[in-house]
Amino acid sequence: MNNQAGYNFAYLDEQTKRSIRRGLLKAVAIPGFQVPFNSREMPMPYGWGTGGVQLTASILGEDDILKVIDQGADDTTNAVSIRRFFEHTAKGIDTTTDTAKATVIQTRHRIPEYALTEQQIIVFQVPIPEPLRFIEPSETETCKMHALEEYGVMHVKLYEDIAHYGHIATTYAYPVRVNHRYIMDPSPIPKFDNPKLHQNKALMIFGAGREKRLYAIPPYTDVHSLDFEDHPFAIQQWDQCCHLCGSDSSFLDEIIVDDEGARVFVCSDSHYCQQHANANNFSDNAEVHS
Amino acid sequence: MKIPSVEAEPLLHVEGVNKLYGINRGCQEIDFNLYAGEVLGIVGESGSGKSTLLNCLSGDVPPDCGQIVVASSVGDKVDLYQASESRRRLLMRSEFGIVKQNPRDGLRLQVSAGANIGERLMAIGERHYSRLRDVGIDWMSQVELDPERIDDFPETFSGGMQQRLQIARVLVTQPRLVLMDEPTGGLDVSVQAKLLDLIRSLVSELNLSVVMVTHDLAVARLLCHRLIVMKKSRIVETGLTDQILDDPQHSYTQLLVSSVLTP
Amino acid sequence: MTTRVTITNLHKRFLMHLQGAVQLSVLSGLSLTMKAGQCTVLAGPSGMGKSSLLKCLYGNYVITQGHIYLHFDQGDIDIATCEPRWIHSLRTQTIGYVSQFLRIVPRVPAIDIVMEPLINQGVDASIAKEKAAILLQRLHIPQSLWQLSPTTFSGGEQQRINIARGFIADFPVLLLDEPTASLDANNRLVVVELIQEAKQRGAALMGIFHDEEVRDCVADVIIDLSEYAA
Repeated sequence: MNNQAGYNFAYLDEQTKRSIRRGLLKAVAIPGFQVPFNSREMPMPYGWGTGGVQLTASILGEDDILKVIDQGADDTTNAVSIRRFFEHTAKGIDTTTDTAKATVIQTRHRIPEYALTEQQIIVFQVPIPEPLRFIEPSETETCKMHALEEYGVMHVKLYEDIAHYGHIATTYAYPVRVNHRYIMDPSPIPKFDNPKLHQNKALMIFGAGREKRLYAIPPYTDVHSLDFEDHPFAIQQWDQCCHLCGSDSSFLDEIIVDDEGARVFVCSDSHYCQQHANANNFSDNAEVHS
Repeated sequence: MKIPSVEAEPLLHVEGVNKLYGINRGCQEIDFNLYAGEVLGIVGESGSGKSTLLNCLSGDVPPDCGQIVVASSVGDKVDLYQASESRRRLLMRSEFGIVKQNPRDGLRLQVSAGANIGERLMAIGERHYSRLRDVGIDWMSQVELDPERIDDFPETFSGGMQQRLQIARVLVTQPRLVLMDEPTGGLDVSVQAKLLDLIRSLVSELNLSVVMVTHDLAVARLLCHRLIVMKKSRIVETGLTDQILDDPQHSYTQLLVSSVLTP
Repeated sequence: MTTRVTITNLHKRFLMHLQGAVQLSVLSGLSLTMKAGQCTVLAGPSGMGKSSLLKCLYGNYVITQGHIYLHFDQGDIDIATCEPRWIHSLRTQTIGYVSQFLRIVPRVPAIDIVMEPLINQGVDASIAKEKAAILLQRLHIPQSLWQLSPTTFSGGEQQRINIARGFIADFPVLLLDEPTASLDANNRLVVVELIQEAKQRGAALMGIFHDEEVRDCVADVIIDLSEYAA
C-alpha cells in the first residue's frame, strides 16, 4: 500500500489497532462500561476528536465507505479535516456525505436524522466519558460507584435542575442507563438524539482520546434517559421549520444571517436537509425570520 | 412483680477488635454490645483511640483483627468486614448513618439542602421529585431549619445549621444505628445546646441506637445511657453513664471526672 | 407479705486513686429485706452511708461486695452482678428514685420532666400528661409554671417536681432520699399521702427522712445504719 509519507493503513500501526479492537470487543460485551485503552498521540491535539479518530482507524478496512460529520454537517472544518486525514492515510476507502451509503460514520455531537442500519457502525467523539465526574472528582471512587451501581448522585443532579430551573436543564450529554446497568454519558449530543440510542440497529462506539476510555452500545440495546416519574424525559421542540427544507421533525440550528440579527433555523444534519429539500422541491426563497 | 423486658439480641456486637497504628496508638481489645434504643458514649482524651474505633465501626477502616457484627433490618447478622464490599456499602448507606464532626465533611456542598437530604433516598431508588421535596421540607422542619431554605446551598448556613442539615441527611432513611463523631464539637455553647436538645428528642422519638464519640462529659451525661472510657487505645471502664460519672472506679476515669469544670 | 428485695452482706467502699489511693468504707456487711407494702426507713447520723445504700440499690454506685436481689415472678436479678442494660430496664419499669437534688435537663418544661417515666414505659403522651397534671396540682405547683424549665424554680419547687416524677409511675420499688427536705407542712402531708398510697398498692419503699414527724407516719421498719458502719 502506498500511503502518504509511509504511514500504515489508517495511520495507526496494526498492534495498536488490534489492542483497540480488543478493547472494543470488551466494551461491546459490557454495554455502557468504560474500557481503558492505550490512546496514542495523534496528529491533532486533544479535544479535536483523537478518540473517535483512533476508533475509526482501528475498524476501517479498504472496502469501507466513511462519512464524517461535525454537529451534523459534512462540510465544517473538523469534518473536512478528519475526512481528508483518512483519505490520505487509508488509501482505497471511499468517503461520502450520504448517510445511507456509509459503512462507518464518525460524528461529533450529533446522530444523523436518517435511521441507521445493521450494516453500519457509528463512532462518537467524546470529551469527558465519566458521567459522574461533575460530582465526584476521584477516579477510584467513580470506578467503585459504577461497579457497585451506586448511582444515586445522578438523580441528585436532575433534582437540582428541577429545584433551580423548574425542569431538568440538561440539554446535551444527557445521561442514560444502558442495558439496565451502566450509566453512560452519550457524548455531547443534544438530548433530542437520545431516543435514537434506544434499540438502534447499528453498532455505536464511543472514544475519548485524552481520557483514554472507550465504550460501546451494541445493536438492539435498551437505552433509557434518566428522569423522575413526575418529570419525564422530553426532547427539544421548535416552533419553526427548517428554512432550507421545511422539515418540522429534525434538530434545528439557529443561525444569524445578517448584521441586524436576523435569524433562520436550519437542519443541523446537512445531508438530511439536502435530501429533504430535493424530495419536497422546497424553495429557499422563503421569508427570513427576524 | 413482673420482670422487666430487655432486648435479647444486640444490634451491634463488637469482639476483640484491634486497629493499631503504633504502640498503644489506635484501639485494641475492644469488646462491647449495643442494643436497640441505646445511646453509647465513647469518652476519653485525644489520642485515646475513640475516632479509630468509630472508623472501624463505620465500615471505613478494617480492623487488624476481631469482629464487628450488625443485625440487619431483615434479621440476619452481618459481619461487617466479611461481607462483600457492595453489601457493606449498602448497609452503610441505608441502615447506618454517620454524623461527622465537621458537617462539611458529611454534606455535598455543591448541591442544595433539599438535594442533600434527598440523596440517600435517591440512592435507594426514590424517583418521584415531589415526594423527595416533601420529605426534604418535612425533615428541615424536624431539625428546626427553615423549610423555605430548601434550595439554599449548605455554604449559606451557619455551622450549627449545617450540622443539623447533616443530621437530617443521615436520618432520612431511618437508619437503626447512627454513629456520631463529636457532633457538637466546634459549635458555640448556645448552638450546642440546641443541637443536643434535637439529638435527644430524635433519639427518643425514633428509638435510635447511637454510638457517640465525645470528649465532653456534660454531653455524655445528657445524651448517653452507657459509657465506654478509653485511655491509650484500651477500654478502661464501662457502665451506665451516671454510675461512671458519680462513682468512677478506674483511676483514669476518676481523673477525667474530677477534671470537669462546673460553672 | 412478699419480699421484693433482699440485700445480703453488702459492702460499699470507695477507692480514691487521686488522693493517694485512700479507701473509704461506707457500708460493711449490711443485710436486710424490703417487703411489699412496707416502708423501710434508714436512720443514723450523716456519713453512715444512707444515701449510698439508696444509690447502690439504684445502680448508681458500684457494689463492692455482696448482693442485692430483686425477686420477680420469673426469678431473681442481682443488681451487683447484672449487666448495665438490665439496670437501665429496671429503672424504667421497676425501681423509682426520688433523689435529693433535681438534676435539671435544661430547656425541658417541668411537666415533661414529670411525664417522662410514663413515656419511657410506653404510656400514651396524653394520658401521661393528665396524670402529671394531677400530681402537680396535688403538690401545689401553679399551672403557670408547668411549661417552664425548673432551672429558675425555688429549691422547694424543684423538689416537688422531683417527687412528682418519682411517684407518677407505679414502681414496685421506690427509693426516697430526703423527699421532704425543702417542703412546707402542707406539701409534707401530700408526700406522706403519696407514700401511703404507694404502700397500699404493694410497693416496697426505702427512704431517708430527717423530719421525724414524717418518719413516724410512714415507717414500718427503721434500720440504724451505724450498726453497719465500717
